[in-house]
Amino acid sequence: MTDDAVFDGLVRQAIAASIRRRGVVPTIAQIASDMGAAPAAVDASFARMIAAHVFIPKRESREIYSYNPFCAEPTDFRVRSDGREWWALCGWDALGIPAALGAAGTVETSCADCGDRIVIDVDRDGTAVSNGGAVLNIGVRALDFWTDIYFT
Amino acid sequence: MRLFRSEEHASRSRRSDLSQVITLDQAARLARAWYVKKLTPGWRRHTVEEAEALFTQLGFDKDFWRLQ
Repeated sequence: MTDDAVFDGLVRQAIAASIRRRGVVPTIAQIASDMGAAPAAVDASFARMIAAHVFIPKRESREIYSYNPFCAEPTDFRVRSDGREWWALCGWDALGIPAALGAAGTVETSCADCGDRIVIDVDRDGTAVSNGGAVLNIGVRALDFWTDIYFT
Repeated sequence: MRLFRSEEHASRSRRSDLSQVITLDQAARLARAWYVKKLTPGWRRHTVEEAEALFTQLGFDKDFWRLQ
C-alpha cells in the first residue's frame, strides 16, 4: 500500500469520526486540525478520493458535499437518528443513515409526485415501515450513476 | 433517487423510461447493505463484483443494475 493510500485511509477514518462526534460532515480545515496534518495534504487526499468516487464534492470545490449517505447541507430528505438530525441526497441514502450509525431512525420527505408527506421509520435491524406506502424510483441505470452524480 | 407514495405516483412522474421502481423493503435492504460499514475503520468502496452480487441477491433487474 502506498503512503498516499495509507494517508487516505486515515483521512477517511477522521471523516467518519467527525461525523459521529460532531454530527456534521467535516471540512478540509477541520480534518487537518483533527489529524494535526497540513491542510494541503488533506486537500490532496480529498482530490484523490473525489477521483475515486469516495465522496461527492461541492461544485467547483474539493470540500465534501456528500460523504454518502451523509450530506453536508439541508436537502429534501431529513433523517432523525442517533439523537441528531441529518440530511441525505436521495431516498437510498436517507434509508442508509440509520444503518451507518447503527441506530434506528426516521426519514422524512415528500412524495416527488403529489407532495404528500412520507415518513419512514427504520428499525435498528434495517426494517423500514412507512406511514402510508413508499417506493423508491431509481432514475438512471447503475452504470450511469456517476455520469452526472448531482442528477443521480 | 426519489421516494414516491406508490408505484402509480412514480410512473406519473417518471423522467425517463430508463428508470426502475423498487419496493421500500428492497430499498431498505439495499441501503443497509450499502452503508452499514461506512463509518467503520476498515470501510472501503464495494468492488464492482460485490455490488453486482448484492443487486442480484436483492432480486434487481440484471441489465438495469449491471456495472460493467
